[in-house]
Amino acid sequence: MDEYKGVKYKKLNHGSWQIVWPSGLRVVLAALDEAKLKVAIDQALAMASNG
Amino acid sequence: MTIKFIKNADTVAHTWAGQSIDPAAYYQIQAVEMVSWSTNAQLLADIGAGLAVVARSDDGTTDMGISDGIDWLKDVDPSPRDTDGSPIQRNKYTKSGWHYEPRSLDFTTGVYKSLYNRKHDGDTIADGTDYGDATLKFYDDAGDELTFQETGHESETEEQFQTRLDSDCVKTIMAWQPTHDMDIIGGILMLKDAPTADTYMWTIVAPDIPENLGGSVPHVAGGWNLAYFNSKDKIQVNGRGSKTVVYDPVYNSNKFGTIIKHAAGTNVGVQMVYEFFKG
Repeated sequence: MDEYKGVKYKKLNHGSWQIVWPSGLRVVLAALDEAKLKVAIDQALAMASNG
Repeated sequence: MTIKFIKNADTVAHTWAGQSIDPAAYYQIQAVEMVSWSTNAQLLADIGAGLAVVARSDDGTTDMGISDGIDWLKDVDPSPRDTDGSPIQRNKYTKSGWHYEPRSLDFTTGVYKSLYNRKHDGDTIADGTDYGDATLKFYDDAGDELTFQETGHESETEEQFQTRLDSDCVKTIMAWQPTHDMDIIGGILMLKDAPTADTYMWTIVAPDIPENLGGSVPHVAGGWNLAYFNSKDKIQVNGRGSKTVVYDPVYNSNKFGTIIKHAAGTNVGVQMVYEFFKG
């Protein structure tokens, strides 16, 4: 798996992304390109910090 | 099929079972070669001499010692056996040295300062060090958080704030984020003053992050209607196994949010017990 800012991710066959948060929580995100996936992770980081 | 690698641990190339391996290089034994490699006398001698190493991967993290390596190469089951040679089975449920530690988080919907999440120290119920890893928050029907002495209510007393909660609070969220790693198993829910009107509960992991960004993962889903239960009922949620949850202070992806939507003025006592193993 690749990693971006502590979040591991890999592309699934149907274009979605499997991501693994640092806690080990695994989720599948809808099809995005890799740049948008990283933007989503950046947004999640900002929200988590404010949460 | 068992994955087996042979590493050349010598400073010169070696040929085993017809395969040349350069110094420090790994070779993955192919399925059809398993017998010829595992019975190759020269390889076994060189493993014993430290010139060859058996490994489970080619990244240097799983190189094995001589005895374990030969066992792995020859598919010897290393599990402990009794005097009859039968394998002894021991189910291991968590990491060595970890213990079972169910944690209770006790609160009442719509009631200020009702969260009880303390250590055993001190002499009275009101004493005891708060674990400091849980919060209780209140929201009105517009989704706005109701806080003590917020803007417009700077001089209110705690009693006046409670009156405001009784009037306006329709959603109570208890968030718990342990600052330690754990293997979570499940949970137990107990109610005091169970509601008669519909009152719905969810438990969401990573609640700060919206679902479309990969957060807000439901663990108690669909909205459990607490009106179906009687006071002092015990509802056990069995996860059928434990799952490691690592403390994540960055994304807070190990935060558990228990969300209860209720009628204004509904004060349901809730004792959430999270069952887990921890170190």
